[in-house]
Amino acid sequence: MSRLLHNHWLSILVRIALGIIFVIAAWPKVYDPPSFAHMIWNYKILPSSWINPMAIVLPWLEMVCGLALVAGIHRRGAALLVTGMLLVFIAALLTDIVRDIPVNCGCFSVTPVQRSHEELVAEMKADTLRDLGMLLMSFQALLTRVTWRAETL
Amino acid sequence: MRSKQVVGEAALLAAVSICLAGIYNLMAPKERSLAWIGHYSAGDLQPQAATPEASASSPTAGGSKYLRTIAPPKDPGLPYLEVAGDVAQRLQAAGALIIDARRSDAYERGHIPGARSIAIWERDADEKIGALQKEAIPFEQVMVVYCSGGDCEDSKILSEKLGMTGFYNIYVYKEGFPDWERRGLPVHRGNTP
Repeated sequence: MSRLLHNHWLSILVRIALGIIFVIAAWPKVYDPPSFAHMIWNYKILPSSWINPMAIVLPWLEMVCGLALVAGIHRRGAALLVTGMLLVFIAALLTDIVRDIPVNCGCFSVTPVQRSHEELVAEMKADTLRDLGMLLMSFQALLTRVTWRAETL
Repeated sequence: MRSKQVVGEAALLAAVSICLAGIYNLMAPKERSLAWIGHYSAGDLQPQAATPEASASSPTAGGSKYLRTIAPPKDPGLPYLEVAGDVAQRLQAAGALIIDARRSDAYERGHIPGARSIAIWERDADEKIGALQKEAIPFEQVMVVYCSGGDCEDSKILSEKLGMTGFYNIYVYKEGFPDWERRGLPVHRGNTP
């Protein structure tokens, strides 16, 4: 299992896949920050004054980290940021699931979709699971090199 | 040492992202960019204006007498009152100031005739609210604010902002533009009221 996790080709595949996912997720938000700001506001977590800076910067952070992962440039730094972002996304989704505030995730699209309360909550749970899967990928991308170094030194 | 390097890489990527975000936000058109600090709740704003008693002196204030007669009674202490489509229609016909809180592209596709666009999530929202004050629109002006109905809260956020600016005769058309269209009422297209 450990050998599989630290497999060179698997690491490359995971890193590139994660990078592509982040680039795809970033694009609609980069293109339309006001809609993304609206999505962040819907979560009712951040103070009002934090919403715009977050909506302006976060999509570019996703885009730059995604591209860095795909290109393999500063890939561990990118993996660290991606891990941090995913932890924040998961925390935000879980917070609103617990508070029973149904929201459109805003993960891959900034166009709000009209759904029932139950449908939105079910979707948020699925989004959380997907983010947890991506979190495993980001850990793999982040930690592979450390393990490799430990083995070779 | 290795972990320091990883943190350094992350800091560099974050710095690049912030620079790109700033440049893009500066270059993007108004409808696709944001002010760095937005005000989306009443708590963010300081009241700038008078109380109803203080600004009721203007003889033409708030539109025609008829308009003020048909406007449902509203507690001036509340930022807005939600109204149904028939009331919104009567107020519009009587000359109330109609404000569209939806995004500007939705406004261009169709809006209530005479409605001004103040897209709450776009960069120039505060500028447009400021323009209302520059035009010396009295604080008692009857206003009808709408967005897309349903779960849309943009009209309420905008109404709170207008309320904090000093306007106090604000009515939120709860069902919004989809209801207006459903009723078969006239719709104006384009970027002018």
